[in-house]
Formats: sequence, C-alpha cells, structure tokens
Amino acid sequence: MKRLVRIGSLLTAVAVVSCVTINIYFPAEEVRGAADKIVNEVWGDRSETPPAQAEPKGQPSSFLRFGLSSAQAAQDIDVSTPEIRAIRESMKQRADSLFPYLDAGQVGIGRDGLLKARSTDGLDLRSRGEVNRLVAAENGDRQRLYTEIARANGLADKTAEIQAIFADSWRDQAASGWFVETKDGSWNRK
Amino acid sequence: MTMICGRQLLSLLLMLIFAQSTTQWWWRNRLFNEGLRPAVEYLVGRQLDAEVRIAGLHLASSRMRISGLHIEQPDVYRISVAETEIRFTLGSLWHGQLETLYVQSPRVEILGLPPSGTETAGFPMRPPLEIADLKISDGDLIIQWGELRQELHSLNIDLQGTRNPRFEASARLGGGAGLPIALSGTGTWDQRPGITLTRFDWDGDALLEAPLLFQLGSSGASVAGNARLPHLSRVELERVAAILALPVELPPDLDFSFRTPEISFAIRPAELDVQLTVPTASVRSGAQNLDLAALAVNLRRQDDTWTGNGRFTLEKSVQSTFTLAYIEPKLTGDFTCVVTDFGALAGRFAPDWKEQLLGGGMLKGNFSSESGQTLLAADFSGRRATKQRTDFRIDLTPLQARLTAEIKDSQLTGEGSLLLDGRPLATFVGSSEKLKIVLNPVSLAEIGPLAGPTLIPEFLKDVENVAGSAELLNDSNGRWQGQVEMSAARVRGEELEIKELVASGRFRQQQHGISLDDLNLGGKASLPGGSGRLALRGSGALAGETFQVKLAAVEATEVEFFSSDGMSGLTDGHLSASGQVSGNLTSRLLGLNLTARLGAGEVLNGPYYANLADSEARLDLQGGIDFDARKLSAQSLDIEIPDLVSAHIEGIASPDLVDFSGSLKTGELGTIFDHYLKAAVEPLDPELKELALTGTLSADFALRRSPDTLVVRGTVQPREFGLKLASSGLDISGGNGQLPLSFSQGPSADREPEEPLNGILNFSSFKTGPARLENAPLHLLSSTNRLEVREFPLWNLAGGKIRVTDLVATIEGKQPAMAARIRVDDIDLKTLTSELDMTGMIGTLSADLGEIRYAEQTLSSAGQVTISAFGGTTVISNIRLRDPASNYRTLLGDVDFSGIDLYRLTRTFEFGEMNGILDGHIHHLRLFGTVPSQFDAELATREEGRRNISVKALNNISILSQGGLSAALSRGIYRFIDFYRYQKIGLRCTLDNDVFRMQGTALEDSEDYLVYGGLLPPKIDIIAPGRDISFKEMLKRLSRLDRADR
Repeated sequence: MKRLVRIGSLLTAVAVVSCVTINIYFPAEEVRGAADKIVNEVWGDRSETPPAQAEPKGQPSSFLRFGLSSAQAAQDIDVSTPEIRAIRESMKQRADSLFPYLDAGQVGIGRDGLLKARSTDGLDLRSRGEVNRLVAAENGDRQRLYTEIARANGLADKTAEIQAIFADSWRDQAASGWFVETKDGSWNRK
Repeated sequence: MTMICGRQLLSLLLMLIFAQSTTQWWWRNRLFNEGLRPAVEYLVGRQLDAEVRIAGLHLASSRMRISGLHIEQPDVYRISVAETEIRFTLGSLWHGQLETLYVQSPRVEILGLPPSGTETAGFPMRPPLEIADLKISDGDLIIQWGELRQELHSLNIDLQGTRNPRFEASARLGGGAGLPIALSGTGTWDQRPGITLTRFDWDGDALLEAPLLFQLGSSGASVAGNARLPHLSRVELERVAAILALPVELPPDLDFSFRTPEISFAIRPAELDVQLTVPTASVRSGAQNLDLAALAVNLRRQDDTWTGNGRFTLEKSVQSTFTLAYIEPKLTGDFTCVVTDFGALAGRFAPDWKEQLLGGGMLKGNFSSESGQTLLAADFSGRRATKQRTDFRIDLTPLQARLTAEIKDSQLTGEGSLLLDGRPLATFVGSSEKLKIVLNPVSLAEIGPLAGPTLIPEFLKDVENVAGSAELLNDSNGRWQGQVEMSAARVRGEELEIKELVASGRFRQQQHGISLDDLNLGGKASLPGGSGRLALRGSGALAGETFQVKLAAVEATEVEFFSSDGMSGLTDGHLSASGQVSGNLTSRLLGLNLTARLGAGEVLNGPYYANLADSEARLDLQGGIDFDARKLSAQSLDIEIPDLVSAHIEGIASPDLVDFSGSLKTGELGTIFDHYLKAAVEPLDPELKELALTGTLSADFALRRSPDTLVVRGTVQPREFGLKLASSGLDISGGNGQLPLSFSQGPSADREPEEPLNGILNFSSFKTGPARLENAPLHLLSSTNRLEVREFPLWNLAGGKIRVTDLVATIEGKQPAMAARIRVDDIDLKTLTSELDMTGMIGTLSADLGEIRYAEQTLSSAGQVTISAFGGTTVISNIRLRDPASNYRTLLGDVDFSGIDLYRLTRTFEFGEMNGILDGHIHHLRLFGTVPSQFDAELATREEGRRNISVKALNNISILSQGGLSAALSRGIYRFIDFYRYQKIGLRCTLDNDVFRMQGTALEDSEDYLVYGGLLPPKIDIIAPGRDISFKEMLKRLSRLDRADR
C-alpha cells in the first residue's frame, strides 16, 4: 500500500511539473543595440566604432524553454527613463575627464566592462585621487545603469547579462590606444 | 759519610774486643759509658759534623745495645733511635759482617739540604759492613723542606742476606691514618748499590708491571721501570697529594679519570726516557665531559737535548699528534690536529651545536720558544664531513685560516686571515692590546657555501658588498674598546630593502657589560610601495641581559608610501624622533620613551587627497614592546597635530587584541574643514564646498578589537558646534552637550549587555529650510549599536508642528538603519509654499507618517500624509525614498485625492479655470528627483454641480492630449466664448518604461473622451490621443503649457 502511495505521489508530481510552462526570455540583441547606442552617446566622437544598430528580432532569444511553447512579442529595450537619462548624462559629462587617463593608459576597460585604474605612471597624487574618484563614480553609474535598464524592462534578474553585453560594447567602442583587459587578466592596447 | 762511620765503628769494635779481652768483665760498663761513649760521641759527631749523644752502651756476649742514640745537625737532619741492638761475633766482625742489627723506633727528620760545598766520597765498591739480618721496626721518617713535609710512619723493614739481600718493607705514608704502602725486592752492591723493586703496593694496589730498578753510582742514579695504576682520578690524586702534602691546586670544577695509566721510564746519567700511555681517559669540567683515548707521550733526554712526541684522540673525532725538541735555550715543535666532525666535538660542549656545525678540518702548525720569545704559525683547512646533513648552520668545509703569533715579554702579537675557498674573507692584525679586523667586501650570497639554510635570515640573504673594519684596544684592566664601521651596498629581505647602508660606533667593555657611543646608522630603505632615507644617532649600553639605547636623533626623510595599486599613499613624509629604548635580551621586552615629530607632504586615500605640507604631528610615547607576545603597550601616547586634533591614548596592541582608551580634542572645526577636508570632499559633492563648520569636538573613547570582535564606546562632546549648508537650508549653531556612542561588531556583540548611557544635546538654533527646532534639550540614550531619542523637541514649520519620537538609529550587520515616528500637524500650506517659494496653496497639511525606517539605502514610511487643500483631501501613502544621499534620489508613493475643487486648483496653478469636483488617484508614483518616471493615474470629475471649463483650460488639455492647440476655438463665434460647459472630465494615464499612455474616461464605455461636453451647444469634446507618446514628448507638451500660460 505504501508503495502504491509513493508511486502515485511521484506520478502526480511529474504531471504537475509537466503542465507548468516556464519561459525565460532575454532580449540579447535588443540590449546589445541599446548598449551600443548608450556607449556611443557617452563616448561620442572618441569612439571609433559606429554604434551598431539594434535590429529587432522577430523571435525572442530563449535560453531555456520547458513544456509548451509560448510566443513572445518582439521587445524594444527602453533606455530612456528619467533615471537612465540622468545616468547617461552623468557619464557623458564625466567622459571628458576620463579621456586623458584612458588615452594615457592609466585607466583601462576591465573584462567586466568596468573601468580599472591600471597604472600610476605619470600621475601625481592629486591626479591619482581624481582617477580614483572618476573610476569609482563611473563604475557606480554603470552598475546603476545596468540595474535600471533591467528594472525598466522587467529584467530585474538579468543585470549580470546586461552588464556582460555592455562590457562587450565598452570594449568594442574603445578608442585606439586604450587598454582593454583580456580574459587572462593581462592588458592589451587596442 | 756512611762509609766513614763504618770504618770508625769497625775500629772501635776491635778496640772493644781488645778491651774486653784485656779488662775484666767487672770493668766493662764503666769503661763503655765513662770512657768509650764520650769518645764515640766525639768521633761520630766530628765525622758527621753533627751533635751526637748516646744515652747508654751495653755490651754483652756478642751483643751490644745502644740506647738513646741522638744525632742532630741543626737545620739539616735529626735522628733519634730508642734502642739499637747489634749482634756479632768476632769472626763476623773480622769478615766485616754483623749478624743482626735491630733498630727499634727510629725517628729520622730531614730538615734541609746539607750546606753547599759539602764533599762526598761517593759510594765504595762494596758495602763497608754486611748485615745478615736487618730489622727496623716502628720507624718514622719525616722530611721537612720548607713548606714541604712528608711523613712515613710505622716503617718496618726486614732485610735478609748479605750479597743480594731480600727485603720486605711496609709503612704508612702521610699523617694520621696515612696511605699504606708495601715494598719488596732485592738489593745489590756490586760496584755500586742498587735496589730492584719487585713489588710496590700502593694503598693495596700493585703498581708495578715490571721490576723497578734503582742503581746508584758515583756519577748518579739509574732508574728503570714500568708502573701501571688501575685507575687515577681527581679524588685519588688529591688524597695522595694531601697525604704527601703536595701543593696540588686543581680548578674546582675539573675532574678526570685515567683508566690504567701506564708509565715506563728509564733514567740514566744524562739520559731520560719516559713513555706515558693512557688507553682511555675522561676529563670533566663543569657539565662538560671530554673523552680521551690512545694518549701516548714519549719524552727523551740525551745530554742537553730533549725530544718528544705524542698523540691522542679526543672524542673519537680529533686526532692530534705533536713533536717537540728542546736544545738549550730553544724549544721547537709542530702539531697536527685532524677533526673529522666539528659538530660532534662542539656538541660535547653545547648540545645545540652538534647539529649546527658541519665539516671537519685540519689544523697544522709549528712553534718555537727561545729567550722569552714564542712564535706560533698555524694553518687551518676545512674538510668535508663524513656524514652530510642539511640542517646545519655553518659548514666549515670551505673555510681556511692562517695565523701567525708571537709572544715576547708577555706581549702577544699576531696576524691572520680567514679565507673562503681560497678567497680572502677577513684579516686581522694586532696584539693582545690592540687588534684590527678588516672584513673584505663580500655579498652574503658568496658565503652561501659556509652558511646553512637557517644561519642567515631570509631578509639578509641578499646583502651585497658588505664590508667593515674594527679597531679594538685592550686597556690596562683587560677590557676591550674600539671603533667599528660597517657598510653594505644593499640589504634586501622579503620586503625590506636598505641601500647604501652605513653603520659605525664605538664600544667599550665595562665591568658588567658594554657601552656603545657615537652610534650612527644610515641608509635608504624601501618597502613594497614605500621608501625613505633613514639616519640614526645614539648611544647605548649592554649590561648582562639588559640594554639601553639613547636615541639622540632618528630621522626619516623623503618617505614615500603607496598601496599596492598606487592609489593610496603619501609623499615627502618625514619623521624626527628622539628618546630612549631599553630592554632585556632574554625576556625580549623593550621599553620605549620616545618623542617624535612626523608629517607628510601630499596624502591620498582613495579619492581623498590632501596637501598636509604645512602640518606636523607631535607624538610622545611611553610604552613597551613584548616581542614574544608581539604586543605593543602604551602607558601614555600623546598625539598633537596643531589646529587639527590632540589625543591621549593608553592601551595595548597585538595581533590578537587591540585594547586602548583615550581622549581627543579637535581644533576649530571650521579651520579643520577648510584646511584639511574641503579640498578632499569637494570633488565628491560640489555642494559641500559651501559647508561651514564652527566649534570644536572632544571625545572620550575606548576601543577593543579582537580577531572577530570590534567594540568602540565613548562620548563625543561638541562645544559650540555649528553647521551651515546653504544648499540644503541646514543651519545649526550653539551645539553643546554629550553624545554617547557604543558600537560593537562580531559574534560577541550581542553577548555583551551594557548599561545604556544617557546623553544630552542643546542647540541655540537648529533650522533646516523653513523648519526650526524648538530650543529644548535633546535627550539621548545609547546602547550597543543603538542610539535612541525618545522625543525630539518640536519642529516648527509653517504654523504647524512636526513631532519626531522614538528615533532609533542602529547598525544591523554592517549597514546602518534608522527608525522614527513622525507626526505633522496643522501646517499651513500658504505659509509653507510661501517659505519654499512655491506656487501658493491654501490649506493645511497633516501627516502621521507612522514609523519611518531607513534600511538598505531606502527611507520608508508606514504612515501617510494628509493634505487638506483645494477643498478636498489628498492622502499620500506607501512613501519610500531610495538613495536619499545620492544624486539619484527616487521617491515612491501612492496619492489618493477626493473632493478637489477644480476652480481653486486651476486658479492656483494658472492652468485655466475650471469648475467641478475632482476625485482620483496617482498610484505607483515614482519620482526621479522631481521628474516622474512611473505612475498609474486616474481622475474624474463628479457629475454634479457647476461644471465649466475655460478656453485656456481646453487649450492646455488639448496640448496635453494632442500636442497642439485646436484652431477651432479661435475662429467664428467660438472666439467670443470664454467658458464652455462640460458633463465630465475623466482620464486614465500611465507612465511606464518611458511610455506615456492617456485614455479618456469622460464617456462611459469609451476610452476616447477626455472632456465630454455639455448637453447644450456649443459642445466641446476633447478626444484622447490615439497613440502612446514618449514621456519626453509629454515633457515637451508640459513645457508648452508654460508658454501657453504666458
């Protein structure tokens, strides 16, 4: 009798799980387009690579799909909320202060898309303080930007994926001569 | 002398025989004692040059007794014999023999040497008188030469025979019980007298391995023999010395034990051969014990030439041989000493050294001594050890040394050198009074073959080109003093590196230690990320285990230090210190009494930069360091930075515990902020540039930190504290009182209950914007990680009151949190909007915000704000403020309103007049700064009462809905109409993801009408836009509203 109850419970659980459909959707291409746009806006003329135009896909990217399929409408990524605009503006205003340090190689673009102070060559203490402040503020804005994009687009649990896509854009649109961190932690001059 | 006496006695005996035969028996005693005895005394005394007395002579048949014989030569000898019996016959006398000679209780005292110049005739070819039976019983022999006194008691001799008489003798050597000795042997007198000892018992032990032969002749004595003791130790030697009264003085802690020592010797006129062999022996000094083996010494003298050689093995690891020769007046010799294992040898003296020394070596040299001058030359050469180890400290294998020395007139001079694999390492030259040592430049890496893996600390292994010299003087008291100089191009450890290191100083050996003067140390030191130039001047003294150093000046200049990433650090740092350091080498305790001044040029800590070139800190420290416990203790540490802060600290610091307490007092806060902080914080928030501070702060504090716990408790006391920040309207002045603080972090934070501390703050003025705090004491209650204010003084704002109660600030985990209850009553909106320079509103504002909490960077309210304005009520609830301290402040909440009089509202905001009563809500409102980024709003007018809408309002609604004005209202008859009637105004709008969507709800079952006109013409409807617009577009439309107003 107990065995029958166990088998029955197991079958019931399988049946319940089979009926549940979990759609995990992440608009990677749209985020990539938005990232290129924002990076280009922030770095403006300093970036050599023209912003890649996001081309909305007819079908969403799907990381995992269980059970019954469920069509998703194409989704535009909104990067124009007041918060995002404020962050973009803040980053844009900061860019002019960062460019000299990026050009001279004292600041580089890390693998995670955040800035890193990689060298103190040629920097006096006051300049190092400025580098610290600029890098910390810039990275804080970038993290906040990724969080806000995720929130505004209902992707609150995808902040890490958004950051990774932005990291590609920051690296891709880095100006010639800037330092970019490689996977093994070394620095390459672009 | 003995032969002379023998002839005289023989003549006397003949005369006595003659007398006996010629006088009668009756006359014999009178004749002997009155006639013969004086003559005998005279003759014998003259022959012996001594005083001779005889108590009585008694002659019987073939026997004569001599009683009371006394012979004395003052200061030379004294002989007394109680009774002597001589038996003889005429026949034996004729043949020069005595049958018996019994000597009873003789006592012979030898007091000194006979006067010089005394001539002796030497031994006769034969004995003058042969005695067939000689017995000496109970005799005493005492030799007293100066301090030396030897005694032989209970002497018994039994000699039998005439040609080769055999004898047995026994005696007790020394005073008291004495040491029993027994001898036996034979005597000979052929050409010259001789004795052959066949037995010699010493304290019951037979000494002789072979007969010992004494041969006396006219030219001297010959002695040959071979003696062996079963054992000889210090105890036995001292016993014999005591018995023999020999002045043997051995070091008190010296002991030795020779097993079966054997000596063979042959003494002949002008020749001597001695061989001493000791198979095994041990010598002990204190706790040290040395084993000797195979000790053999051969000594030979021939005429005036002495030669000798010997060998011995010490501790099975040292094999030594030596030779020597002495030809008047020169002694020469050489020696060779081969050590197979210095570790084993040194281990006998200090067990720790057994594992620390590796290698063997050979010491080879020669010496000579002549006329008070001794020369010594020796070479040492290391040898590879038979057993290789890796845990040694010094390997002597590659080491060589050369030494030459001269001793002349008790003055030692010499020179030598130390070589490493043939390369000169150090040289020394000098005398016992003056010595100069020169260490040639060498890198410690080069002496690697000499050093074991643990000899040179890791931080010294990269010492390059270390060189030095020392000049040492030995004063009249035998104490050393001198000057030492040392330099090194580079000393590098794991982290510390010192370049251009120079050190010098003078030292003087004192009665109980060493004093050091003119100590100088300098160099350029660097650590990872930091460097600086160091210089030290001072003096010191070392007495036993204690030392004391007076630091005249310790200077550190050009100090730079940076964190590993170079993003924090300081430049142009400098330190100047003086004081006294004392300690104990055994207990490893260091006492400190230091005064220092320190400062820096530029300082950077992350984003905070300051130029402190004009500031200097003064530091006075009285404390100590316990190196074993790795603990720094400060009985008193005073720090003063003019115009910034002065502090007094007491406590301890170690890796496991930091526990100190103290007090501090700041300078004028305004000066501190302007001078030190403004430049640092201004880049972070430009508004802080306007910050103005006044007053001072003082604090008492106690800090205790263990590896998992941090506890800080104290009280901050503001004095006339003031703060003004124009941008926020914050203005505080006249702050005084006490603010208790208690912070604890770690697993024990909750396990340390403490009594809450009361505090109080008073402000002469506390304003923030239009709100002003009533002038009343602010009572505080502090406990661990918690600060409470049960009730604030009331805030006055726009005719109303703000009551803040139950304020609790805590630290939960590592995040600060705060909660309070805030109630707002009767704020007059007209006054408030006026004071805030806002659009004037009429009404009141009340709020019961419930519990306000701040956690996870969000300020949230469980209550609501109620605004009574425009004839209706507006309630704001679910209020939250995220990131209140950042530039990205976001306000969230829900707004519900009802009964709003549209006329009063539209007049107030000049939107265009409308009549009607408005109800609705704005839910999920999200304001980024002052800009909405999300909301869900719905509002509608009531379908009752007067409902008119002005053209201006219609136009504005059109702008909002359509993006532009409708030209129809400015044409025709419409241009003369100012108001239109409407039935209902209703709309639903949302803002989400920057998409603004507006729908009309004025007409039931339709989403098109924002304004549904009245029943009578002209009827005006405003249609909702058919599409969503971006919020950016909405903002543009709002901006146009402004323009429309103008």
